[in-house]
Amino acid sequence: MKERKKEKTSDVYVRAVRLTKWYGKVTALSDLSLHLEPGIWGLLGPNGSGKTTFLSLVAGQLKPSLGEVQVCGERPFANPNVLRRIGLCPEADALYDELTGIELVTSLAELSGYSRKDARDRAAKALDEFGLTDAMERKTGGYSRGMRQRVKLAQAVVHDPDVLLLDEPLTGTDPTSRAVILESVKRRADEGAIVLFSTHVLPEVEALTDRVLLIARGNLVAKGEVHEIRELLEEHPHHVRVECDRPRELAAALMGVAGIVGVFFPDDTAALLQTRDPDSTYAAVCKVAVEGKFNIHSLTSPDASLEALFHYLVERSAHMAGTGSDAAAGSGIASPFAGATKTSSQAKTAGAGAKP
Amino acid sequence: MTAPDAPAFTTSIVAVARLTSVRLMRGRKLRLAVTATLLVLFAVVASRYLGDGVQPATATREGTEWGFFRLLIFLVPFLFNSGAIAEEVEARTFTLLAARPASRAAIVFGKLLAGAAFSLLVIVPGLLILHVACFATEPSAMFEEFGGTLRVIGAASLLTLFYSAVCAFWGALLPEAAGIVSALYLSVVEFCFAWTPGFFRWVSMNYLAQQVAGFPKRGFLLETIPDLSAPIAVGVLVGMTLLFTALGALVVGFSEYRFSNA
Repeated sequence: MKERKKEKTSDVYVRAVRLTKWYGKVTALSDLSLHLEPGIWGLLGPNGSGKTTFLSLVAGQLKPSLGEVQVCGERPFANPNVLRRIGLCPEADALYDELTGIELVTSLAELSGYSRKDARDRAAKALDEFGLTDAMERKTGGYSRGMRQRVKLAQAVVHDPDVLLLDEPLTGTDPTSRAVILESVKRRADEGAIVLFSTHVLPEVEALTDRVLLIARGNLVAKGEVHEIRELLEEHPHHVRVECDRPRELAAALMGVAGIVGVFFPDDTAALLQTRDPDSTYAAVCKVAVEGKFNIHSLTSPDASLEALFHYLVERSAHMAGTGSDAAAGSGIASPFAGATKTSSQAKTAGAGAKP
Repeated sequence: MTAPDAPAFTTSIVAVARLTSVRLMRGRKLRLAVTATLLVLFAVVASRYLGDGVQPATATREGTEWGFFRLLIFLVPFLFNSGAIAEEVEARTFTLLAARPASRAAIVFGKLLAGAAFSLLVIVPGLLILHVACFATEPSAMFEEFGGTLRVIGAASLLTLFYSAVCAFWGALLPEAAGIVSALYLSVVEFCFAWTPGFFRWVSMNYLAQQVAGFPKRGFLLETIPDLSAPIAVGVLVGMTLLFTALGALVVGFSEYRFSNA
C-alpha cells in the first residue's frame, strides 16, 4: 500500500531554482532555491517578506523575473496541465458576493474539469467538510470572515489537488473552524499531497507540521524543523524587560548571572536585560527578586517572537554573505536547496548569498 | 489525489459564461441598462404620440438612430463588458479563475459571451418594442416596415458585439483604468469619427453599422465620404470584433495581474 502511495506521489514536487521576482524596483523574492516533497510545509515570514509572491509563483499566477519554478515537472504559469493539480486558497478576502457558497464552489469545480453534476456533488462535499452545509445556499456576501475563509478553502480542495497552497488560511477563523481546517489539511498531506501553508504565527504551524521554510525580505533564511526554529529562537540574543521598584539594584544583583550580556534602563521603572539564555535569566530574576525583596510589576520578553528571529537571521545571513562563501559554509549556513536532503540535526539556515 | 483532466475549451467557456451571467443577473448593471432603455423608449414613444403629425416610420428611424445607435449602444455593452476582466482583477477574484486549469482565452471568451448576450438581451428587445410601440396604431404598416427594423437589429447586434469586445479588451489591458479608457475610445474613435469627413469616417464602426442599418449620412462635407457596401461593412465589423476578442485573450493570457502584496 505504502509502495503504491509512494509511486503515485513520486512526481509530486515543487522545485524552485534561483527563483527571483521583482516588481519595478522592489525585489519581492531573491534567489530562492528549494525542493519540496509531499507533506505539510509551513511557510513562515513576517508580513511583506515574500510569502504571497512565492505562493503566487508556485500557483502560476506570476511569472519569475529570473530563475525557474516547477510544479510536478512543469512550469505552472497559465499551464492547465499543472494548474489542474494545484489548489490555491488566496490570502485576499475576495469572493463573488452575488453567488451562494454552493454556486461559487460548483462553478470553480466545473472549471477544474468536472461535469455540472459532479461539480455540484463535489462542491457540496467540500463545503460540508468545512462545516458550511447549512450556509451553502446563502450568498457569500453575507458570510462572516471565518465562513468566507472556509469557502476559499473548500474551492481550493474541491478537485483533490496534489499541491495545496494556503495563504494565511487561518485568518479570521474561530477555534472550531481551525480544528476542522487543520484536520483537513493533515488528511490531504497523509494522502500524498504537498501542502504549503503560509503564516506569520509559529504556533499555527507547530499544530500542523515540523517542517518549515522561513522567508524574510525575499530571502529563504532557513529551512528545517520547527524545533530547530525554536532552538534558534532561544539561541539568538533576547531581551527581557523587568519592571520593578528598584531596577538598577536588581540589575546589579543580576550581573553575575551566566548568559546576561548587557543591561539597559529604558526608564526609571524598568531594566532591559540582554541575554543569550532566556530560561536561566528568568529563573535568576525570580530568585534575585525573592532574595532581595524586589517588587516586580512585570516580566516580559519583547522579542521572543518569529519577527525578532527573522531580523536576527537576516542580519546574520547578510553578515555571513559579506564575509565570503567559505565563511558562510564554515558557519553552518547551508543551501536551502540542498537542505531538503539534509538530516534534521544539520543546521539549515540559508544565507542571502547562498547558492544552490 | 484524483484531480481530473483540464476541462475542454468549450466547457470552460460555458462554465465562465454561466458564472458571469448569474452575477450579472443579480447585480445592478442589468437594472441600470434596462432603466436607461426604458427611458429612451418612453421619450421616443412620447414624441411619436404627443408630437404634431409625427409619422410612425420617422419616429422609429429617429428613435433608433439617436436613442440606440448614438446612446444605448455605447452605454449597454460598456456597462456589461468594461469591467468583465478589470473588476475581477481589482477585486482580486480573478485569481480564483486563473488558478483553475481552464485556458485563459476561455475565461475571456466566456466573460465576453455573457456580457455580449446580456447587451443583446437589452438592445434587441428594446428595438422590437420601439417598432411595435411606434406602429401600434397602424398594424398594417407595422408588418410592412418590419423588414427594415430587422435590418437595423442586425446592424445593432453586430455593433453591440464589437463594442463588447472593445470594452473587454481595454478592461483586460488596463484594468486600473478600464472604465475611462473604454469610454474615451468609444467617445473619440466611435462617436466623434462618425461625424468626420472623408475616409476618416470609416474608422468608426458605428458609422459602418449605420450604413448596414440603412441610415442616411449625416454631418458635414457629405460628398467627401465614399460609399461603402453593406456586405463589406458587415465583414469589417465582424473582422474587427474578432480582432479585439483575440487581442483581449492574448492580453489576459500573458498578464500577471498583480494586485497583491509581496
